[in-house]
Amino acid sequence: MIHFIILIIAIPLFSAFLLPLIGKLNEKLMKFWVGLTLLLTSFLSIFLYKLILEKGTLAYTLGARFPSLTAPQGFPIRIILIGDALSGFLALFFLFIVFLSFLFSLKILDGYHFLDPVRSQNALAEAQRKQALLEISKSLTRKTSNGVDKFYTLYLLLLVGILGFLFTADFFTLFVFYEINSIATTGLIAFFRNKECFKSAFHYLAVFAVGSLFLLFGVGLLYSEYGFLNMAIIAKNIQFSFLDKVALSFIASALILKAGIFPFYFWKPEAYNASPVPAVILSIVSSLSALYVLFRISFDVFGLNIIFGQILILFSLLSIFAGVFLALRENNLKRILSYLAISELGYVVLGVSSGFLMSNTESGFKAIEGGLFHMVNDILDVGLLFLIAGIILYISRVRNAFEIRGFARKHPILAGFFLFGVLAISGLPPLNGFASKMMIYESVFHLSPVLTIIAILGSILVLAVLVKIFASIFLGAPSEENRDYQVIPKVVIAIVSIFIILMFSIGLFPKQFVTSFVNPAAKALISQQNYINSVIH
Amino acid sequence: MISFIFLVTILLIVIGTSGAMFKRNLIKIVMSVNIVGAGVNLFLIALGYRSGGVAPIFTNAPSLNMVSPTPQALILTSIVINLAVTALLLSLAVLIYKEKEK
Repeated sequence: MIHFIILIIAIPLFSAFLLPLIGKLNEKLMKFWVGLTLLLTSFLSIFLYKLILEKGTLAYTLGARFPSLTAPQGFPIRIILIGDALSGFLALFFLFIVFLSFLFSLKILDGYHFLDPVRSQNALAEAQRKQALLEISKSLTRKTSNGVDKFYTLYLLLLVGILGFLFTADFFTLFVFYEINSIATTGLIAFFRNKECFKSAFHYLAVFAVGSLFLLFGVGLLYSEYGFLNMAIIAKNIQFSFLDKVALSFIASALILKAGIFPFYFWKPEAYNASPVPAVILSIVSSLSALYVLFRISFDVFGLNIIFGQILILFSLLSIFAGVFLALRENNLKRILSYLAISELGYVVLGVSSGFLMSNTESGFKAIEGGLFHMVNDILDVGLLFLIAGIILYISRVRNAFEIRGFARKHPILAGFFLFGVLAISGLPPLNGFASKMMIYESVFHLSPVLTIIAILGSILVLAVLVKIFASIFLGAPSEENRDYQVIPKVVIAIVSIFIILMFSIGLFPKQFVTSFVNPAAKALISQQNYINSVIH
Repeated sequence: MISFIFLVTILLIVIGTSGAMFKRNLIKIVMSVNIVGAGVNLFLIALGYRSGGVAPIFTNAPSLNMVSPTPQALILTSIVINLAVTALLLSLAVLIYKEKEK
């Protein structure tokens, strides 16, 4: 029972390294193996979450004779994992989403081999296009391995990085998981093996190599001052000296880079545009987990610092606006959606950080709840839109959103799904985006009405961007140019419907969802003392 | 002595970061990333330094004045990770170059 935390990280890691071997034997078996791994991990996370709700925060000491023993009997230099109501809930939810995106990847990923963005962008003559397709399919049949096994290896490794972010209670392990995360994402970006993808993968990795070294530098500064790497022990001894502030700024900038909000969002459109859609879903999840670590470190380890909270609020507002305005001038569907993903993350940061500035008040707690609730809704809404974008690209093979016209005639069901996504992401009732954004608006109002006004304005602009896309893709008469190369698989429609059912049910019963899941998570986040006590008794 | 090392580490980190940001040559970017890595590793190893200390091997140590082993363990991991990142970056650079030739 106590080993659940480490097993959640260890099982995908172990299975990831077995995958290339199994992929050599049989491709179907390999996919089955990935599914089995994800299912097993998801079940473990359910049990872990139940255990956490029963017993409170769990600490797990690696390599100790009794893993539940912590300081003073255990040794504080050992690597410690902590699972509390927040990280347990996020792990449970993220694994669910990752499982859905895995099912999606089973259908859509194979077709992606035929997707050549450079060629389709220029809209070459039909004969040339057919020739190219023929060549690609020939090369596929010749090759024994089509790279799918590598895709799933990296997929599981990225999942390990995400889960490690959620459970680590140790700064150095954080650095290691940060690197795992970056390297796996790089591989996923370069998956299509064309020049565009290689370039964005190179940029991504160069940026994140420097970012992770900044994280390590910040960790080194903390180590030089306190002689420990454990978060809880540093949290207990923290003095907030000048050196601490420098360390916090280094660590926080690395995490903001990973999350991809305002000052460091530049990698996001490139990376999301290049990587396959199931990997994009995983990247969004990894951004959210980086935000979780950011909140954990800035508010639980370093305690409440007013100036830092204000800086975060400023960043969140700027990312809400930067995302929307940059989306307005784009015409590539996936790039538009990735800019919107940046602005949605802004709401999460706005809610949580303003909640901390109003700590010990009712509206402050509500703001934190709203921010954490929006984490869930962010992945559902943005994820849904990305899945639909993936389906559109799969069947029409066009990158420029304004090349496609009149899609609703041929695929009314897709138009309906997209409309749901648009309504949810721009915070209109009765969908889930409304519930969490409303909580954020109401509670942030107590800090400053200006924040609420700016946040609402951002939402309206999101709606404007998406209505423009919706009109251009789905409405109007279908043009001769776009024809279907593939049919939509039924499984994919089912997965998208699951997303929509979830969004509806969260939107219709937000109170129940908040009290049963978000409330304990928010309580776990705000109590610094509880976090320290879970390691040092 | 110690403050001189810290000066050098900060110099290395600044040089590397500015190189990674402003250079357009891919190989130079890889080198800049490596310079940042060297700076950070030097910083970590300098943290554990003690003047006159010996290597932290307990069995046959002549005195108990040892340098701190934890930063050494940390940079061992960090060097390995840096190596992997460098290899990946270089292979991507090769792939980009090949695509350009086509």
